[in-house]
Amino acid sequence: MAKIVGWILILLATLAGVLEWCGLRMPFIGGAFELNRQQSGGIWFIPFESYPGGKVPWVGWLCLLLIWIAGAWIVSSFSGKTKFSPLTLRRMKRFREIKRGYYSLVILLVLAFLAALDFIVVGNEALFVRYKGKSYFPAFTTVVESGNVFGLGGDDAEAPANYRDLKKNWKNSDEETGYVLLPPLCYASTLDRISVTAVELRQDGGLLYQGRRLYSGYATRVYDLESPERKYLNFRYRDGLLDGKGEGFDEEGNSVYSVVYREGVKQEGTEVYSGDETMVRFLSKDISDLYRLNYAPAPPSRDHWLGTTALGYDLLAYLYGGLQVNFQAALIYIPLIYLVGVSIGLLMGYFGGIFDLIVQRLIEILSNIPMLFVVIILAQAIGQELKDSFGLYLIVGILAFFGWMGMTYLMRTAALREKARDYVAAARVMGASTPRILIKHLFPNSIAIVVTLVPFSVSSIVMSLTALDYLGFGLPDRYASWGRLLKEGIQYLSAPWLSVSAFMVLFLLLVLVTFVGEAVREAFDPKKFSYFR
Amino acid sequence: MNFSFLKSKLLWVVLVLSLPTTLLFTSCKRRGSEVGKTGLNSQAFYKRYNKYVSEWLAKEKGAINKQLSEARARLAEAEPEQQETLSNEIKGLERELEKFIFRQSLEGFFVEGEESEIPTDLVWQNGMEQPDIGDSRAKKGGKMRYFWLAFPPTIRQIGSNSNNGSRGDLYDNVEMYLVFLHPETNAIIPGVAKEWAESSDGRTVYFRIDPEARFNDGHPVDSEDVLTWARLRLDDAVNSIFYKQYIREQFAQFKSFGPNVVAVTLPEPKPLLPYYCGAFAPAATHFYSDFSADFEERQQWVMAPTAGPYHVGEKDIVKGSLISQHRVQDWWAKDLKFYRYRFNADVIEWHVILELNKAWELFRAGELDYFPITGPSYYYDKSEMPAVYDGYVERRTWYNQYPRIPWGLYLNTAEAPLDNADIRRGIAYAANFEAVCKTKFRGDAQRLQGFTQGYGEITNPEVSARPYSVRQAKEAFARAGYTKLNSDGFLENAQGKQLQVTIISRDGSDYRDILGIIKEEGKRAGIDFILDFMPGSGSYLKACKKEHQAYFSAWTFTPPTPAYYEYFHSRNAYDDKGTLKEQTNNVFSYAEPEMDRLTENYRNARNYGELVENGHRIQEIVAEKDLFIPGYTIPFTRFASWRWVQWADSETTQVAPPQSYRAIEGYCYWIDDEIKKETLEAKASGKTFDEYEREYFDKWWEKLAKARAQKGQL
Repeated sequence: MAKIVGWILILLATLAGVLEWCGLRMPFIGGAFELNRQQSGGIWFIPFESYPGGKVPWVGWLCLLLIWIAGAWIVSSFSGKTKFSPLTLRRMKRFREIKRGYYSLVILLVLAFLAALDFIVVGNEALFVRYKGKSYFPAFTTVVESGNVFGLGGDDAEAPANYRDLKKNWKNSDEETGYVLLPPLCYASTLDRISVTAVELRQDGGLLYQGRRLYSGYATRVYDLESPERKYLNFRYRDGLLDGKGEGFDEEGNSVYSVVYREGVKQEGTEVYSGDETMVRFLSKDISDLYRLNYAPAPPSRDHWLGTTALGYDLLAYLYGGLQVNFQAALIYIPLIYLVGVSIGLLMGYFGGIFDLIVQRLIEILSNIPMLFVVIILAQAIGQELKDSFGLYLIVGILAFFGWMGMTYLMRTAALREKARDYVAAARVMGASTPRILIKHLFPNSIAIVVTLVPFSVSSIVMSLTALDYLGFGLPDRYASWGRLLKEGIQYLSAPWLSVSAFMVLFLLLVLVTFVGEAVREAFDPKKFSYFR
Repeated sequence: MNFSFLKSKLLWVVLVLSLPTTLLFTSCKRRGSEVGKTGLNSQAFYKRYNKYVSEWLAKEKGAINKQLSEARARLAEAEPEQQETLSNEIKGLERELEKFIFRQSLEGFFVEGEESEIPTDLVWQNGMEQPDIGDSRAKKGGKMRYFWLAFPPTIRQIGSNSNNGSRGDLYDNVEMYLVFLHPETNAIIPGVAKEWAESSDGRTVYFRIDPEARFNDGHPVDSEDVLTWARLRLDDAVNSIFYKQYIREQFAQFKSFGPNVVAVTLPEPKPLLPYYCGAFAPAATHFYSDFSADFEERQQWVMAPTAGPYHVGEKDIVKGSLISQHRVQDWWAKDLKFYRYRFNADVIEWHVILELNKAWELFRAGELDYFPITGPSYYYDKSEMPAVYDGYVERRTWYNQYPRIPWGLYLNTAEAPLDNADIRRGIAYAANFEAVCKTKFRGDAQRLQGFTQGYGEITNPEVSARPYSVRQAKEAFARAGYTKLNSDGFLENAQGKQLQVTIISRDGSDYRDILGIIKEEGKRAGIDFILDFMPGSGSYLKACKKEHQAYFSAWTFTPPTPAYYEYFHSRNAYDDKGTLKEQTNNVFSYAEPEMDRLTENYRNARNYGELVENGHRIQEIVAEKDLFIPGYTIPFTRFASWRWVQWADSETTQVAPPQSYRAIEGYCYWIDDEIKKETLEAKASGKTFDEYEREYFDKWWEKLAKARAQKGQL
């Protein structure tokens, strides 16, 4: 089992490397390069002429190398005979028996897998385009195709191609066109604005209905359903009847017509037209039915299952983006703080004395600093350019700086206890060096206690990121963020789908993580397995 | 361990720590005993200040003389093309010098004269021929409830923290100045001064104070109170750097002639002189009899008596939640023209509600009487509610004449890459404010066409904003060397530098929405707009330090004419050493000889034609060099109010005086308690009224511009 995982890691890492070298993007492990490319600063890249894009994302390659080495290590160290210690096996069995935690872990793993699929499931770049006998894989390449590649004219020719529009246009067109395959959720999580959504209204017996209810509000006929912000005629309705001011616009968006209705009756002398055509011709255009226009944040609709955010991003895609950010942050944060925390804790316990004393004081100082405030102050002091170029790393780095203290004392205690045991003394007598004792003997025997903390660290990083984003000191705008969504929800109280979905996803993720955490803790509970005689 | 050592160490620590504490207490004690209640003691102060001003004048004059002789020396050996600039500079300095020579010829800054000294050849004016303000149907009484988003740190008018957001409502909008500008005709109308007269040299205005004028506590207003206005702000106990400089430099003399007449002199003649001399409210001298160095602390929650219609007493302040203004029942001006139909509500309650959404909910519940709904989400979504359908809440759209607020991007030409004109041109094409108008504002906002739109003839009709165009933006960026598209879809130059421009702005959901659209649309054109939202006034301070690249904001000008010198003259961009000058309005850091000449000509324009001509050319250059990327403007204010709030609708005033920013300014509304009773009963019993919605169109602006053009008045 473990061996297969090792082989898969090696395989994926190799594949990701090959694809990267060919200038292609790969989700999952290739995400290391994505994470690297999200940072726009110069230090994240080494210029290199013949490399696709002209610069090497070295952090991505470093991660890839680490993954490859990890895979190789797993493969080499788990030969067929290697077995987990009975204690570990019992713990794993116990964990599987706690159904709540076990299924939570399964769900989390599925979510992580989905998040890792990235642009294959969510994004506005097409997976595959066939046009004029040529095939394109826009999502998989790092090249941004302009609209003119796909025969778009005018202003769209120079801008990056909008594949959603392309698909709709080609579908409606009679001419020989091409084929577009979009991801299942064809909206990017950020910077992909859907400003207006249109909901059809129903006219019945001279009355206007929304669903089954008589309609009160504004109803609009539009020039183009694909961009409903181009209004043609706009009327106010009360209880299904025309009531109040109506306005008409020409194709350039200039107001050319106005009229006043009262309870469905046109008021005499209120009709004014100032356009180029005749009023009758202007009014008799057969363009579209009556729609209710929902501006961002728009409520859930057929195209946008959860609605849109205040900036017009598809909410489902935005939540997905937020989930990705949370997993990415955890992937950086957890190894970082555990590497530092565990090493320092071990050293404190093992060496003791003056080193222990000094580090203890240091930890006391650090842990007494109100972390969130310091992060806010730092985030304020750092320029926005820097924040933008370091992106996620910066904020996670700052959080990690204050996050490693938690497990040091546990590790210290464990190391203090273990180092007094006979096997350590025996190892020392046999001439084992300090690093060997630390790594080979103390570390494996004291790590179990820390494992139970990992899930809680995950929930703490999720909470911290959300809190910071909520307060407005978090990630740059190009990241989707649940905290910012919560804030939007407060600012747009009349758009409950924002706060409700932000709250729900946050709640669900934290509950899942906590369930896993509790199960791990229970599985590792020493009282279960040790008996005093 | 040696404990005695530790003990002695501890002792030292205790000693060291206790030293500053002891000092602290002793210093407090000393300070307390030193401060006596000294009073204003104005005579001594005037003497001191007069001496200080005469020394300051001599010093400044010497400095200008030195600059002048240097400039003349430079002119003598200057190249022909520099001569014009230099001679312009000399002209400016000479003008400055003249001011100082005039000021030195005066007998002092504060002077107390005799009634007999008043010149006899004065022509007194009283402005009574101007049309009245407000609606004669107005009834006194009732309560107006509105809100602030923050509780003021103090209700003092002067001193630390007094320039807060509540000050306008507590003081500036309800104070009685010596004279006012008529909001419709821009002519002078009386305030505390019953009549006034200009001196023949166009520098001095004599004000005769209305003998009926009283402070809220019944004490009559006299000429001494006018001097006290300046005297208070100049005192060292009052933290008011702005006023100390403003009064010293913008005024030349305050002179009283007996109890009823006072003269204010400016350093040089100005149009609308009486307004510039008398746009402030006399301060209650008698109230400050116990004035002392701890004035700011003691008066934190005390409102000094004013001659205005509203007063806040000690009991009217509920700290953190409410301040109520009470109408002065026997206000001296309540039957006078211009004031009789205004200031009608008996009580104005300012509730402090920290969250705008909560305020809206309170308005819906009838706990607040008025709410601005200019934002489309309020107008089209939130206010489409039963209370509106049933006629309890009325909506009004008011095309006010207040010059449109010019939202847009202010580009700092001193910061790379914005020093490159092609980059600025590209940004002008890449900033999609059309989309902002169409989606964020749902078509209510219009694209702003130029830097100063809405100033009648001064606005150049030829100047227009560059439309959003990816192609043209990319062409401009390519000219600046940004040709390659990187994997993120942003442009890069040959050095691999990504095209990035940081836009700073205030923080807030509206700003985030607007700039979010600009960022996304900018990405289509290959430019990475980094958005930096700063809480509070952070972005403003940064722009004043000229540390910004692009600043999303709006600078408003006080009508009738916009100012250009402050914004574009090189003197406001760089100092003599060529470093950027902080705290000036030239946030563009723009310095160019032609612009210098034009802005100077504009500032010193002697007639309307010159003003228009130079103004037009300046606007052309601003557009041509893409210094300001015009954003959007909304030509109206929309507001919702409960049925019992009645709004002025007379020949002269609709809703509010035309040059108001908010409908409640000008205080032309009144509360009808009978209608309130009727409405509340109807609401309880389920009876409904007809839905009410109305638009008021701007009929003043055109009229005013025309009248002004004919008169050739500035």
